[in-house]
Amino acid sequence: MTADRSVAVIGAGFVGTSCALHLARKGWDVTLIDKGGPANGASFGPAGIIQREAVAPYAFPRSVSKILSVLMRRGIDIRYHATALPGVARGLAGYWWNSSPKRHARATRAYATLIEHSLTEHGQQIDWAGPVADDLIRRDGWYDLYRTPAGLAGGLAHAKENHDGFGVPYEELSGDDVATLEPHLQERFTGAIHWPDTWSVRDPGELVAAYAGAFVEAGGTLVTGDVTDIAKTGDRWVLSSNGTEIAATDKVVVATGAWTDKVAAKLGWKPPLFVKRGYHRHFKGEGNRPLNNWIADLETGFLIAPMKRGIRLTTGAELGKLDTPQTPIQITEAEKIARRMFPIGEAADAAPWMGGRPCTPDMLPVIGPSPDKDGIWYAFGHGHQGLTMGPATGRLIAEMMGGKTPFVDPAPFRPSRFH
Amino acid sequence: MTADKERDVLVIGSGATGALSTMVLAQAGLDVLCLEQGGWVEKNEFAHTHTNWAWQRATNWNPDITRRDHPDDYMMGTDSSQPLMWNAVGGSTNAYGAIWPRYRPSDFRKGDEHGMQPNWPIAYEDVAPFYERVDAILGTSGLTGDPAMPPRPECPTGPLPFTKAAKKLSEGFDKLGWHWWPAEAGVISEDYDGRPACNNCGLCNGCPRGSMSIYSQSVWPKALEAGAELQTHARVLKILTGPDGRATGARWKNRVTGEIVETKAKIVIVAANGVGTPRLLLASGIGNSSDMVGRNLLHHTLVSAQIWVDEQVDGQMGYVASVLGREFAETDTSRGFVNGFNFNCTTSAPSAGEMATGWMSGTKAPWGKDHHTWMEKRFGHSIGLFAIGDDLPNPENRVYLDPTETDEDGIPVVKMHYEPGENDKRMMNYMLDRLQDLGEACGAFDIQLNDYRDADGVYRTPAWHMIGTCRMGDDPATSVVNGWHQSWDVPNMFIVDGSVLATGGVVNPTPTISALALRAAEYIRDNFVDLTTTERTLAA
Repeated sequence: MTADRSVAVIGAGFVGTSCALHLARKGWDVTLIDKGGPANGASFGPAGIIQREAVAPYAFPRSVSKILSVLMRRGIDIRYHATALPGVARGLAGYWWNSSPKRHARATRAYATLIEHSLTEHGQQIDWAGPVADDLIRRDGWYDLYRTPAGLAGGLAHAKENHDGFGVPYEELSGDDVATLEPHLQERFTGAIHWPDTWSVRDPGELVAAYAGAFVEAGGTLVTGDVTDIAKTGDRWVLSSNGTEIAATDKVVVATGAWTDKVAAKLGWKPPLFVKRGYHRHFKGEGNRPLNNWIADLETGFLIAPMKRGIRLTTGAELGKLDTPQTPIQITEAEKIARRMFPIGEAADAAPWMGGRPCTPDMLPVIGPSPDKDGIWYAFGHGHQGLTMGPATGRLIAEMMGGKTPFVDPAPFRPSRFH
Repeated sequence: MTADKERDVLVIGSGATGALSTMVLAQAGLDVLCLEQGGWVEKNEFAHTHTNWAWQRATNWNPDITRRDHPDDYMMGTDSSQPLMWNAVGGSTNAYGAIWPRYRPSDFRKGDEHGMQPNWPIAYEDVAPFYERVDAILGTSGLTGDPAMPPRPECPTGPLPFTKAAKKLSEGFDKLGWHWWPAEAGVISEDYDGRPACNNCGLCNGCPRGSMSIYSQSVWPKALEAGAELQTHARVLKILTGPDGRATGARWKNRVTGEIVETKAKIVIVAANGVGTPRLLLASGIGNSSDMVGRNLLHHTLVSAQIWVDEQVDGQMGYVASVLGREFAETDTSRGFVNGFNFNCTTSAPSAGEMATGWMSGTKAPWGKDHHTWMEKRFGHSIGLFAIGDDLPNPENRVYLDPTETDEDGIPVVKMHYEPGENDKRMMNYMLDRLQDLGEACGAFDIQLNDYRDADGVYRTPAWHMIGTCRMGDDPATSVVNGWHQSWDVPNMFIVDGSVLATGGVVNPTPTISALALRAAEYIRDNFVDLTTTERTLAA
């Protein structure tokens, strides 16, 4: 172990906590900093699936009719705020460009290298964290329900592509199978796709906390603080909060998700990040009519999951700024449709929760060293898959920082591609 | 892509020749960058530190690159050969045996002798002083006075212990009236240059002690001390040339961060050995006006035998080589073929587990009550014998690029084809008969020969040596480099590794490759200013 082995990780979501955990276990002296504690940001709110099946990132819709329907605010799966558009124009334009079939295929190949390790890397971290983590995990997959034959056919075609190209297993369910699976469904579905090789998390926030617990056990230090300044003093990076020093380390890992534009700006970089907001709300369900599985109605654009806190209803993507108020329409519409579909019961949360998914124009996360600031590393931009890819990212960062060839090719994720 | 300052010399590959070249040029005060696609091998990674060391040497420490799966190994396709390659600092010296015989003077003059191989553009006498200087750097051990070789000064360290197995073999050779001599080795028999003497542990799969010369331990420290820069995890994708056809540097990928970098240099030395060098030249589309790049792949003819004797010879202890037999090293056409071969005799033998599961010959221990009797009779009673000879060059034996398949970085995958010719087969049959003679002369109670042919008759050589693929010559039409390793097509590019060997000789080639590397590096050093501007390569 050499002298220069202290590192501060900013951001304690799935990505940041996993980075900190891997580094601590490799013998680094690690300080994990978050302004609100573990899972203060997007990691608190996802649908809770470790999506081993999601080898392809979500592309910008290519068909004109789809784009029009989004523009005209029909449907709830993709929404936008006019005010957000100027700020995200550059990111969106890049996203559209990179969603051409050829470029999307290229992004998929790179994306898949991290997705392929999602279960094993979560499994490793769950091992380290012990039963407090393992008790949160279900290993029986999730279900993508379809109302229309055309929708089902489309879903199956996509599933076959992923199976043939990447070995992702799937099963087709008939309408009857769906009714048997979830006897309390109030609507009839044409069929469903089951993704058996995925895990679900009964409380994502608690899983991050469990990983943070393993980090502390491995010798790491967890600090609550809002990093307002990052500056190099001598050969160390000094992180401070409104004048008070929080940490001074040899290296820094910036894992601040949707807030990375603010942090990177302090380091002289403006990455093309744009935010897809998402909402969730918990419902109490009806005790004698439980929800058995994670079921999604992606044609409409929402998912319901039997979590620890109740039935969690999550929504699709909304283009909006992180710090502007919630627009309830996406979740209220989703609630109406969900309630028609299943007896979700009364709301358990006073208000919906909103989080921001950090997205990049080429749909790939940013993982690697800053090209111009020696000692600064980035791990952000995981879009819809922060939960899924967090541990694999933690391992990748720790291996790269250790100076050996990492377990996946880091080239597609390098920060310099946006410099 | 980022570009950095222009270097004096860019060396591609940190194996034996990359290490020596970098050392010589850095010691001369030049600014040298060496790019190595692997990393440093830590001492605790060697098989020696694992209780399952025998398993390690069949898996993680298997010299055959197609049987390993290290993150830095770059895959190659082979239709028969089992290539010995190692991608790390020190290159394949991490996995070799460091057996250290020299070429014979006749090896350089095969064109005059029978014409089925070319003459080298240089002679034994040009290389001899460099053999000695490399020996002094490494601390080579051996016994002077071999009557079958030209005279030479004393080795820097004395011969390794003459083991019971060596004594047994010497009796067999004496009975037949055949030449034998203790093997020279790139292994120090006394403490030397800050490294400890060999302790005869018998596990010669790399050497964490540094007694066997792994160039990361014996040469790289000197190069780094002289100010050289070594960039690990740097995979070269392409050698770059300018409009005048001269080399300008290389494009490489940092495998840790994924960054693609272009480095400029005045002189480029390619030291990626018999597979890596032609692969890079072909992928870069340079240096091949002769169409010889990748062709004339030589492996040496190679067959082996495992013999068991009544005496306990404890072959599992001690350095991997004991004696060399040079009786048949020269051509005698009455045998029915040209060229000759040496006997390489191994002292180092298998562990009990390896012995029981077949080792060199597939002779396995039985289950049941005979298992113990078998082990008592055999463990500690076996000696391995190899016969290694000079195979004839065939342009169709080659390293080439797959026309469609590319690797993760978009570089075509490298493939290898090798098939022994008629002369080679006749020689190998003869060698097997002589191994039988030797086994009998040693009084062996069991002799198992191995011709490395599989059930379909395909010769699957344990290809320890991959040489000849960018051969040296005095005619640009039939060779790739001149007598100074200088590319005919790219005057400021040098190939300094085993690719240049115009003939294979009858011996393990690393001493010759190292001597040539020292010679080439000094030439580059002494002519550096001219070479940075030269526009034509001349016959040396």
